[in-house]
Amino acid sequence: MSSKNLRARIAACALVLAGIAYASATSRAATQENAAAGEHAAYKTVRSNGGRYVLHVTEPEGGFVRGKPLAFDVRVLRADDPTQPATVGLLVDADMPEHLHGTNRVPRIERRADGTFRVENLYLHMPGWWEVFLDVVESPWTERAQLRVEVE
Amino acid sequence: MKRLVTFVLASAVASWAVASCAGRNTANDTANDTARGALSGTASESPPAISTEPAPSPPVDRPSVELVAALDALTIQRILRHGPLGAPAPDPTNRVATSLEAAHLGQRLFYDPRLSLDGFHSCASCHMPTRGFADGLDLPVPVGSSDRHVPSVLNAAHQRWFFWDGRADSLWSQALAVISNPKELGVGRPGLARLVTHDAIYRAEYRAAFGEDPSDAPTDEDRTAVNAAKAIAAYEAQLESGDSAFDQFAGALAANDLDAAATYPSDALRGLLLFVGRANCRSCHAGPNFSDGEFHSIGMAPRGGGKPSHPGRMRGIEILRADPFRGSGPWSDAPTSEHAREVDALVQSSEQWGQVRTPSLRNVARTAPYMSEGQKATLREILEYYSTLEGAVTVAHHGEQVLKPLALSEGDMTDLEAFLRSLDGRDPPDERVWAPPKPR
Repeated sequence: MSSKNLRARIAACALVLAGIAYASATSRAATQENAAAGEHAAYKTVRSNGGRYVLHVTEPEGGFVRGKPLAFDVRVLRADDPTQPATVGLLVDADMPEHLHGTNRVPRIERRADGTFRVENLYLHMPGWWEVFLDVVESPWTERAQLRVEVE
Repeated sequence: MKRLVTFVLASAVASWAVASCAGRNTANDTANDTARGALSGTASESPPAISTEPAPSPPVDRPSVELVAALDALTIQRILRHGPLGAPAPDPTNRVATSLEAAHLGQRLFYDPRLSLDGFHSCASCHMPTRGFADGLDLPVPVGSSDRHVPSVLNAAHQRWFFWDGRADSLWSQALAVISNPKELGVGRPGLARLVTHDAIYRAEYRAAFGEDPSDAPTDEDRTAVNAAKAIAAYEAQLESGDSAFDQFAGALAANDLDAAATYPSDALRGLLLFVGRANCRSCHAGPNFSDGEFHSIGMAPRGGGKPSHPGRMRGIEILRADPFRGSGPWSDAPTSEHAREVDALVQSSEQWGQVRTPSLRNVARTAPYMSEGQKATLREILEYYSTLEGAVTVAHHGEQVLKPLALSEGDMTDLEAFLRSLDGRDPPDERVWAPPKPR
């Protein structure tokens, strides 16, 4: 075996090992995040656009449907320490990008003792594509995460 | 994928079945009230005779057979979201909203011209049973001079907000506002309390509905007037139209009875497919009442031209929040209910300038002319507007960007009009439509 071939094989093995290590770390992080989500089985897990937070969002009863006040839970975790809820604030709003308008109601948001947020009265009045904005506030940062919701 | 299609179909059929169980007429009801009589004289005259002959079954429309067979799961799901109408949401702010005794009192008041300053106009003068409970005029001619087109009160209990700008959040506060407005009926709360207190029939019916005597003493007159308005609301809540040809079609579709579905005329079916498809009318005319219940501007210029002069929803929210007769106010029967507290959560912004409530399309063929100022005389004129948006004005910086000229062909417009006409439902029963006879 030439030294060129040997170097290529070593490089390939290193790549495989690195891949295994990355997958293992990702899996561990996901397990930790899921453990932190606890009984709050997430309908969607989204990462904030700045990458600082991971948000577990439960599904409203009956799904994201039109013309009904929707209620759901949000658990915010730090991406680098997904073992417990982050002590942050949360703002929620929704918008129809194709219509250039938002929702007609202000949702109510309550932080519970266990660190999760209860969101109520999110009202999507029209069928179509909605973006639900979840803004995590931790001064001096605010990071946005969003859910894409198709409402029939 | 197959599972998804099955699930979508099953969900749609299940939701149809649930709505059907909510007290609506069955699919056996005939769609069109062909025997509706013409109004002669005042609304309190004897009702015209209604034929009791069962309508013959319509023939299968051959082109419809092919159209029905070609419907995909998503289209079926979207069609079934529009019917049947089902029962209206309860109004906890009115404790007599479903009381028959209150509805009886409200029915008599609805047809009584003594509610107007001139003694000639009643609620039924503008909400005429023979005109789909509207007035057939572009603008009303009541005691004063209102500059808003009269909407129908048929199925009004299915709305969440009332008036074009949603300045009232209940049927009873809407009725009270009309009675108090000198540009409309104008007799006011003192006049309403006086009428109910000193008329022997009203006095007895009030007692039956509320378990107490009415009073027009200064300390009691508001209470009496509010209760009378709640009785009118109880009556209006009974003004529900029956199944339409569209409802029968959707019912057949839900039951997977394709033969029955194919009796729906093919032009109406093509119009329906445009409505839920390319034309995307369902975007605002959503749900079983063909209205999302919310507020939009379609850029239609006011009657006199120029930009919209009515503030619309922007001002409507202000008026609502200041109204002592709102759902969260002292005269409400459930001021702290979720229903009443919705007002506190309303978003108010300058982009709501000129926005008006999406009208229901049920019975729309019977309630010409159209739009909040009666700008359009016919359904065809409205379709032509949506086709070109000719003369549209920009209202707000963002506005409704979803509105684009639909470029409808003549055939498209004919089909859409046929579909809209298929939303014509049966009138409520006669005993609910006319003024009750005076007791002997």
